Amino acid sequence: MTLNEEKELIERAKKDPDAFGVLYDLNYSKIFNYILKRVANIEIAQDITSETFLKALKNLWKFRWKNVSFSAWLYRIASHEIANFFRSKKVTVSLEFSAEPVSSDNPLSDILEAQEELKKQTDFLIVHKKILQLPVKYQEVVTLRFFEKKQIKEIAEILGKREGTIKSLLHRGVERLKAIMPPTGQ
Amino acid sequence: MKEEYPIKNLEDISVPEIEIPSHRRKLRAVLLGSFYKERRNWGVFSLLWKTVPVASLAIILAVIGINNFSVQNYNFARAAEIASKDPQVKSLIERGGIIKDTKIVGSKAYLLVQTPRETKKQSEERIGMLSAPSKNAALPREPEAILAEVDFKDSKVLKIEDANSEVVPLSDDEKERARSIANKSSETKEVIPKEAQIQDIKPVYTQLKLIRKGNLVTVAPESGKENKALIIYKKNGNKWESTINMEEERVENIDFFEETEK
Repeated sequence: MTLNEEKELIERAKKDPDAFGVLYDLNYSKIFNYILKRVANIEIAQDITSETFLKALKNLWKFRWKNVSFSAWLYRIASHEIANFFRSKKVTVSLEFSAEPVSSDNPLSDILEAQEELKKQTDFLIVHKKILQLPVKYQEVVTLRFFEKKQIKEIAEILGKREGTIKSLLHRGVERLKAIMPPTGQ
Repeated sequence: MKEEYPIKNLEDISVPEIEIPSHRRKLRAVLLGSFYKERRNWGVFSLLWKTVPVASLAIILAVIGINNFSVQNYNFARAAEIASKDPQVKSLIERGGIIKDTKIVGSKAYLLVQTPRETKKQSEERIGMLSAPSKNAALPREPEAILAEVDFKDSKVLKIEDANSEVVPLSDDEKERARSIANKSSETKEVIPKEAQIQDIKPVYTQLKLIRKGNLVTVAPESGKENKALIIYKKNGNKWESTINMEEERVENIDFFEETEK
C-alpha cells in the first residue's frame, strides 16, 4: 500500500468502520508481535494490544498525516502502553512465558499453542531477560532496531525523537547490554 | 567479530512471530462494535480541541494587552515625573501648559508640553493681578510648546526644544487670501481703524501632536495645515487681532489689546 492509499484509507476509517477494520487487519499482527517481544508474555501482550487499538480508535480523530505512518502511530501508542505497564507493575525481573491459566475469553487451544511457540524461542527469552534489566528507554530502541528491524528514521518517528537521540540511545543500550551479557566462551 | 558483539547476536536471534486468531477476531469485533459510539465522542473532543486553544490564546492575548497597557501607562507617568523636575518644563506647566502627547522610543520618552492660547479675558485677568504691569503686558501671551527628551536610564531630561517652530507657516498666497477676506469684511472696517498697519499674518496657533517614524519623533499640527489665519494690526501701540476662517472665508473674531503704560 502506498502512502497516499494509506492516507486515503485513514480518512475513510474516520467515517467508515469497515475501513477501520482494514487498518486493523493490516496492523494487528505487527503490533501484537512487537508487544510480545517487549513483554514476552502472551496474556499481557494480548491485553496491551487490545488497549493499544482501543486507544487508537478513541484518538483516531486526532490523527493527522505528518509524515508519520499509521503503523508508526500505532507503535507509538503501543510503546506508551508498554511503558505504562512496566511503570505500574514496577517490573524488574523477566516477564518470560508464564504457565498461568489463560484468559477465559479466548479459546484455550489458541493460547496454549501460542505459549508453546513462545517457549521454543529459548535464545530470544534469554536475551529478553537481559534486555528487561535495561531502563525502558533502551529496551524500546533495542527491540525496535534488532527484533523489529526498524531503521533509525522509523524508530525516531515511532518514539517522536530525533534520529541523533535514537542513535545515542541505541549505542548506550547496546553498551549496557554488552556489560550484562558477556559473550559466550569468554 | 568481538567488536560486533552483541549486535550480531541480536540481529541474528530468532524472534517470536505468533498469531492468536481468537484474540484477533474478538478484538476486531469489539472495536467495530464501539466504532459509532467512539465516533460520537470525536465530535465533542474535536470541538474542545479546536476551542480550548483559541480560548487560551484569547486569554493570553488579553493578559499581554493589559500588561502592556499597564507598562505603557507606568512609562508615561514616569516620563512625566522626570520631565516635571526640569525647570523649563516646570515653568511651562505652571503657566498652564499640559503634556499633550508622549512617545516612548527605547529607553527614551518624548513629551510635548503645550500652553493653550490666552484669550483676551485671560490676558486682562492676568494684567489685573500684576502690581506694575509692563508696557506690553496687555498683549496676549503667545502660546508656547516645548518638546522634552527624557532618558529613563539616568532619570533626567536630556534636551528641550522649542516646538512652536514646527507649526506649518502660511504661504504668500494664503496670506494674501487672508488679507483679502479681512478687507472685504464690514466688521474689520467697523472695528479696525483704516490707519492701522498689518504687522503680521500667521497661522492660528493650533494643537500639536507627536508623530513617531521609526526612532524619530517629530512635532506636527493635529489637523495638518492651518485653516485659520491671524492678522495682527497695530496703530500707536494698540493692537488688533483678527481671526480669519479661511475655509468659510469670513472674519471670525477681532480682539483689541490696549497698550498699558508703566
